[in-house]
Amino acid sequence: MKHEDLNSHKTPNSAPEQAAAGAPDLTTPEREIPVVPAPAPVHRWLDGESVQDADLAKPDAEKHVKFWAKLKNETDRRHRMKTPIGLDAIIMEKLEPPVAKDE
Amino acid sequence: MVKAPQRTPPEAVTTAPDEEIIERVLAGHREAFHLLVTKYSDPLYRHALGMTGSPDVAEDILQVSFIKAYQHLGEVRGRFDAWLFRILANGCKDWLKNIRRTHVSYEEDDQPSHYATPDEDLDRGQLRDDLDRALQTLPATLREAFVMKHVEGRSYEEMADLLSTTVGALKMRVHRAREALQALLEEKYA
Repeated sequence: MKHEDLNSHKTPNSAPEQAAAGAPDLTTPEREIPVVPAPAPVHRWLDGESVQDADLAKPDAEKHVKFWAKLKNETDRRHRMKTPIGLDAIIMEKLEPPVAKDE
Repeated sequence: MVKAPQRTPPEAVTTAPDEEIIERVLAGHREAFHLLVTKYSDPLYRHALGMTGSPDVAEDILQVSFIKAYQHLGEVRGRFDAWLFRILANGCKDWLKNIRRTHVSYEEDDQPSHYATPDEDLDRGQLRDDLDRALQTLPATLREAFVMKHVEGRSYEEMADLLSTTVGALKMRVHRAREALQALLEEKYA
């Protein structure tokens, strides 16, 4: 399976549209990754769409549902993570004072 | 009679549009930038953590991103949140690019990988560890899509907006990421 690259820009004032149109990102090479194709209802369920229970209970879907139910505990935990306390204050301290305007 | 200046309640200011907050910062009210930090730090931290797998690195990237945003605040065109996200996302990719170089040199020296120290194993749950390792093996585009969908809980429409691509392309990336992660983890977690 081939994977597409995403462009990377260092310029902080790049608009998102501009960011997607630059040099190729070299972060990770294209590589072969073995895949376990899941039935379409499983992806729709994981995407948050409504799916018939019967479709998820089918033999070809069951193992995927079990697997992702386990993974969901971990992704939910990560979703609840907060920025470490005090980091906002550290950021504010590191900001350069504004340049004084000439009188 | 001159009225004493009154502070606007923080919660009222937090709901102010980003454009208004930015105007205040650019007018010299540096403290108003704290509102933007408070508003956006959690989702951005989760993104950086998901992409790098390292709380320390995620904190560093978050700090640098906000500082860059502050320094270039006058250059914002369009949505601030999308602009800020791109700064952070690019910071993550730059870090990954560098760590990959480091990782390659470790491999050449036959050293262990950077995320598998015994201390880390003790500190983290096994699933957390395994998911981190599996995520690290994904190409950045797939990892990014998976993290935005399943860790940050963003809709495909929101992701498409932030990444300037189509919903269809992002669905494809997320589906591929899921299938690759399952292939890597299912033996243990099936």
